[in-house]
Order: sequence, then C-alpha cells, then structure tokens
Amino acid sequence: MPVEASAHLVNTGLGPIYDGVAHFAMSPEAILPIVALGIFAGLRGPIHARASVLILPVGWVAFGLVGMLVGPLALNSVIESLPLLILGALAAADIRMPSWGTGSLALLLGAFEGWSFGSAYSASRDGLPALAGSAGLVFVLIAFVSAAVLKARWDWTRIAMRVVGSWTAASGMLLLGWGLR
Amino acid sequence: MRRSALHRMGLFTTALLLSAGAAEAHVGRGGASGFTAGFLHPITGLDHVVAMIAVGLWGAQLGKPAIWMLPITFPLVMAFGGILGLLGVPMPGVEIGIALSGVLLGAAVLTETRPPLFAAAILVGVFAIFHGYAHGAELPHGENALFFSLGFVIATGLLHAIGIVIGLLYQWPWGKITVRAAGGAVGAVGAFFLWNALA
Repeated sequence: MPVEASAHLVNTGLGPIYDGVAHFAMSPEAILPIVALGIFAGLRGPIHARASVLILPVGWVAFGLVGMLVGPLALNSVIESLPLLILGALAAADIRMPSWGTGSLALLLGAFEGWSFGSAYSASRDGLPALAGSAGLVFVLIAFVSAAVLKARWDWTRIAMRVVGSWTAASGMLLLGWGLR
Repeated sequence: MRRSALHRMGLFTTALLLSAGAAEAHVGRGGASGFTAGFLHPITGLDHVVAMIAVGLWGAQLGKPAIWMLPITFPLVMAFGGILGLLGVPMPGVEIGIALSGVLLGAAVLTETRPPLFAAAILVGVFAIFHGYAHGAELPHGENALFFSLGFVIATGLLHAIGIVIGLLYQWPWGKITVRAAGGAVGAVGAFFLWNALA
C-alpha cells in the first residue's frame, strides 16, 4: 500500500541529476547489494556480467518511474535486508546458475531499489533527472565491479571477492535479526 | 607583514569561536558512529579476539581448502548465531562455549591436530554460533543497524586475517614453532576464561 513520501533527498546545489547521483552514493543499503550482484555475475562469467549490466539499470529506471507515480510502499524493514543476504550468499557460495537466473536477479534488484529511489522523488518536480542520475551511477558501479571480478585471474582474488560476498551476506543476516527484534 | 597575517588569522579564529552555536547533531545515530561501535564490539573482548585469531591460525595450519573456506563460511554461521542472540532465543552455557572455543582451538593449533575437513568445519561452526549469539545478545539499541553490522563483520574478518597471516609462517621450521606457541597462548587465555565461567 502506498504511503506518504518522507525521504530526505540530497541537495547538492548542482542540479537534480547530481542530486540523484549523490542520493545513490550516500545509500550503502543500495550500493552493497549491487556490489554483491556484480561480484556474483563477474564470478559466473561474461554472459552473466553482461546480463546484469544491461538489465539492472533498465529495471532501476522502469520501476523507478512506477515508484514516482505510485509513491513509497509500506514495507517491513526486514525486507530491506533480503537483497544483502541473498546476493551476498550467492556471491560467497559462487553458485552455478543459468544466465537468465542472474538476469532475473538483476531485474528484481533493480525493481526493488529503483522503486524505492523513484518513490523518494514522487513529491519532487525534478524526479526524472534525479532518477536518471542515480541510474547512471548504478550502471557505472555494476559495470565496474563485474568487470573487475571478471579480470581477476588468480585464485586468491576470486576468494577475496567471495569473502566480500560472505561479509555482505553476514551483514544482511544481522540486519534481518535486527529487524525481527 | 608576517606578523600582520598572524594577527588577522587570530582575529578570524576568535570571530569563528564566538560565532559558534550549540551542537545539535544526533551523535550516535549516524553511520560513522554505528560502524565504529560495530567494529570495536568484537575486538574489545579478549576471549573473542583469541578465538577468532585461532580460527585463522588453524585454517592456515590445515592448508587448502580450510584456509579459504573458514573466512567465507565463519561470518555467515556467526551471523546466524547473532540472529539467535538478537531474537533472545535461550542458549545456556554461552560463556562456557566461548571459553571452550579458545581452549580447544588453541589446543588444536598447539598439537597440530588434523581432523577431516567436515569435522573441523563442524567444530568451528558450533563455536561460531556461540560467539555470534553472545554478540547478538549484546548489540545495543539505537545504532545504525547496517553500519553496525558491517563494522562487526569486517572486524571479525580482519581478526581471522591476522590469524591467517601469522599462520602463514607455518611453512618455515621456526614459523611452525611460532604458530604452535601462538596456539598455546590462545589455549591458555581460553583456559583462564573457562575457569572464570565455571567459577
């Protein structure tokens, strides 16, 4: 059910596009699952990485627009921990999955976070450029992380990536417990 | 000229100090304080510190694949224990379990025990739940949950990394003695805490 928007939007003074960029850059709860997705997709290979890089920003913008129109959803804070937990665990376990599965995860993450960001701009006149700014940084981040992991050829670098996934999942699990408390 | 510049800077600083208003920041609510609190939480208890380092030492002593399996799986199992603690699920003997982890992991490193990988994983996993539970039960209200969790997990991971780095000395003859001595020290600290827990 949509509820009243009460997000604290970032005002950089540089215009709505940079406001959107700054909003995303200051949202670790959105950055970390994207990093985990980038690690997972990079570990799985170039087809998975390409699917993530293409689908995540598209889902972000599409559902961001829906969020701008509908407004924020009254979601339990527990749900916010799930992207961290699921994507971090997948990266840590380096689970085999078809590329459409990785693409579906990218779409789901883009939908969830994009809706959240779009709904934050629902009361703003400059929502569209802000959404575009945040989506631009999302594209850069997922492309950068997945490419960096794809280039990792040594065993220990791949293990280090999986450790980052494990830490992300563990943080998500603690966040889940915190939300349930 | 130089004296004049200093004079101006002094006046400017005085003006700044006089114009300062009362601080109204929400200290303790932000991400930075949450991360710091979470980071400090696992490293302020010696019983936890030695056990986490012992996990890294033992992993390095056991070699592949234990050396990389432990830092990947331990945080997840410990976080599961953290959930149990956060939810207040009853778990008796937590302090004894934590102290025993120091004793047994330290003894394993000291005696160069090499059990099958699944047995080592189960042993470490059980201890991870005890440690996670204790941390989860003690987590303070009012902190930024995400940043606190990140700080907590990263600090734990870095303690393992310290143990692994020390454990890498194991490849040299003098390093073997050092690693085993470190295991003995962990066991002694664990025995001290076990004595306190049983007293």
